[in-house]
Amino acid sequence: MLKVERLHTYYGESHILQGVDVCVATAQCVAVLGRNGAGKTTTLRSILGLTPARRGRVEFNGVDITRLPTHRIVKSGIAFVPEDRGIFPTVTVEEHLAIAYGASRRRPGRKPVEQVFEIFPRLAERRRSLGGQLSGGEQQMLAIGRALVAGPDLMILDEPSEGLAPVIIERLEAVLKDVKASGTAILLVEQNYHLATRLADYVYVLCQGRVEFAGATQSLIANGDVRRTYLSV
Amino acid sequence: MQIFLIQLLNGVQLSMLVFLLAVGLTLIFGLMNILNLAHGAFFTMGAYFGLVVANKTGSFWLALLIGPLLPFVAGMLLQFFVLQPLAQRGRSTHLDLALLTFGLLFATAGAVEYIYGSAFHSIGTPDLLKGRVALLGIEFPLYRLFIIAVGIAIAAALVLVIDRTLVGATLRAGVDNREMVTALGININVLFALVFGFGSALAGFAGIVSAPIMSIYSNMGIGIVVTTFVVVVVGGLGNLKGSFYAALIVGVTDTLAQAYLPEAELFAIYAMLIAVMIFRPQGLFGAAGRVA
Amino acid sequence: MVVSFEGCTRIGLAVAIGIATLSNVTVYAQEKRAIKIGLMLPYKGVYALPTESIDRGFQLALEEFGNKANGHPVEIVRADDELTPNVGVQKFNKFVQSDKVDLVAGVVGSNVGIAISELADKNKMPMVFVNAFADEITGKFCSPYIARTSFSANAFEYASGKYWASKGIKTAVTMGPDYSAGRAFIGGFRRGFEDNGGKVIEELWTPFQKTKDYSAALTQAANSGAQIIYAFYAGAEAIQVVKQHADFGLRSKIPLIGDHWVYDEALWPALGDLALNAQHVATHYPGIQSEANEKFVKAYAARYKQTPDVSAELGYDNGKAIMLTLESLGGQMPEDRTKFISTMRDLTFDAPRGKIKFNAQNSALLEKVYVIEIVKGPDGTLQRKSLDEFPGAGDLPGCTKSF
Repeated sequence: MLKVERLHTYYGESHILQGVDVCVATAQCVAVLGRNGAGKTTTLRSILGLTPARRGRVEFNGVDITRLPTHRIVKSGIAFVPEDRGIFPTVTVEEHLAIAYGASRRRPGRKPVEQVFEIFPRLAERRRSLGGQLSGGEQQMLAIGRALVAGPDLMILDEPSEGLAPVIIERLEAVLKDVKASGTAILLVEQNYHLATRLADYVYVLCQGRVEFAGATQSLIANGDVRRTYLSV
Repeated sequence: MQIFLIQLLNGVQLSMLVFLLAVGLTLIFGLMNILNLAHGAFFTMGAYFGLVVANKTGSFWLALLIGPLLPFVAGMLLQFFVLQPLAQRGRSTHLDLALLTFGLLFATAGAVEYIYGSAFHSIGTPDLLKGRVALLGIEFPLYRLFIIAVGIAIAAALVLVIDRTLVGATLRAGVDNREMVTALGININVLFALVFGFGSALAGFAGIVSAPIMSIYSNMGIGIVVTTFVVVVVGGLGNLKGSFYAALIVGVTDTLAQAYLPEAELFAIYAMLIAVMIFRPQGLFGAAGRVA
Repeated sequence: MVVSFEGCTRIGLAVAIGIATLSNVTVYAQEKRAIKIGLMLPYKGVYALPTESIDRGFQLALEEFGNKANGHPVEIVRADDELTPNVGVQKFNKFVQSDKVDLVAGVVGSNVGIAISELADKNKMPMVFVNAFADEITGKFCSPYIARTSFSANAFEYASGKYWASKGIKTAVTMGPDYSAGRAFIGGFRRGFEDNGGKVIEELWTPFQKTKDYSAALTQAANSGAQIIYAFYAGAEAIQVVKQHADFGLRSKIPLIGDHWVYDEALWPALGDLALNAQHVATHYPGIQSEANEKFVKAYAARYKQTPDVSAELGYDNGKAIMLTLESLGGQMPEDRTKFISTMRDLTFDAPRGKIKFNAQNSALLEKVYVIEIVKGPDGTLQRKSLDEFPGAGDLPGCTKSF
């Protein structure tokens, strides 16, 4: 459903993405791996129109979204969980979900706030807390819960496990497995190789803005050279 | 002592007018990071449009209700069709915007002077509020008490909207993290245009409310810009409650200085501004980036 | 071809006549060289309205002379000093250096006037002030290049203070904008008032051009126990003070007495009923019964479709004094420009406000000051009625130069 073709993105004159191709099929989980500075986050931001690409094409559900403004891209069925979680410090948990709910009026699959609280009971306990008062793990749950509210066809997550305790990462994995099982596609950037390979069906490995490997998760696990060269695992 | 209390009341009344002006500006700055020096133009615009309505209908209340509509629309159009596109093209550093909006301020004064001349105009006090109230040995004009009431009412309403409603939550979110709000599927440009329009309408409202005690003339918006900025900075950019308290401080200080130490009146306000900018640049109230 | 001697002579004669004619033509053109007057006024800002009147009065005076002095056309170059000293200085320099004017006229604000007086003296450029009432301008800052056609603050206000003290007013509170003219006027009033038995209980000052709300000062005044508030304000500030004074119900408790700027005609539309029954002192009003005044009022009304206010009269006097001086100098600015000023100093003429004469410091004197009440005329419109009159006082000493 998501087709990214020959994407070139610049920061000023820095040529960050040098012709990236990524594909995500319906209900598939795709992981993008690579070292720091490989261009993983930039790829996500280009797809979402936050850092628009200079050349290339992004197609979603048959529609060319390359040059659309971010809010239109999101409205077409993509939800974003950024690396810093994007939690608003002065907004309560409840309000976070309500804002997302109100913004996804046209989405058939949108979830009412209470449903999200059922998935994350911890959030329900903290429904009146301000975003700035939550722990790292709670913020991550909120970010994902907020993304679920919109009933997206594709969820994009940037390093969701970063800074989380192992116990929370387990919970995260379970949640994402459920998300995938429910039919939502996932595009995941992860430093955590093991988490990524447990979740993903297909994997891309980026290095210096280029795709150095693309294949089913199993083939990456089997390919020691690629793993050692580009991922140090 | 009694006189001192009356002077405090005078100060509070001035504060409310200043607050109405400052709150629009602080919302605009806090949400959009726009240094809108043209805010005074909307003050002027609202006053003159209110004058037109008052002259046509003979009603102060209609002027108060309809007058702010012109600055509301003008503000929205300015933001949506001029400022926003400039920002997207990367031509909106603070200096660019300051120059542009400053130019607009004078352009409005000039346009208004061209149409209405340099004469002074007035909107009469509405009959309902014409009287005076005997207060501590002074006859205090009812209309000034009305101004205090209006200021407090609007402040309360704004706090309610920002703290308790979804629109308010979205505004707070926008001040916290503009990019994330677009990543939630919300067209931030429309939100910005509405806030800009609303802030400008508040300035226009202030222009009409102040008309019965002051006069309406082409340069009226230029004089108040500095005081308004002092309040916005002292209160914290984008901080609504902060601008209320800062307006109180500035208004009362200004008034008490006029009464007891006139040589210090100008100095007091600017000294406060400088002190805040040096020691607490995020404003006296609340942390940076907070709307409420 | 052989040219005969006669032919040479004829050609030579023709050439000689031609040269003589040409040089006569140039001399003729030089004789009728235009006089350039730099007119500097605060066209924008709080004094925009009075400035408009001054400009009109000034133009009317020039037109009376057909815009010519002894056949020399007189041109006006205008500049806006924005009531700000450093802007005034800039514009004055521009007059001297690029516009190359023969003299500078105008200047309303004493703050600008003081800044310019030194400049005029240094540049040897005659400066004929239309307002600039501060006493120091023809006192401490006097100069053979400076003249003032209006009057000094002391001349006006000392006499006013003396008058009100003699009318049974024992106590007063003063209100005024805190800048040189405000200080000069209120100071003059205070001296005249207290020299004649009155007492100023409190002086209230408001920041000039920055104040919009006078409630604090008015509240202090109301609480002072004085019999009257004596004020000096103009333009937008005057409207606000008068309105807010009425708002607090003070019209009956502590009347606001002032000068003609506080209750200027231009402000009557904005003041509405508040102007009615107000009392003030004035150096001129349209109803003065004299030939000079009736002629002036008629000409002004015909040209501008309104009655002239005090500012118009001041502008007129300024222009007239300049034109009369130019005429007596044959329509040319003399090499030694102090001669222009000293010639003006020797003038005596009938102005709409009364006789204008100058003292030794080139400052025009006030023959009369009128006490005015604003009443409703037979046609329902507001008019001025003269209740009394008194002579203007002299100037304060302070000029140490002799010229």
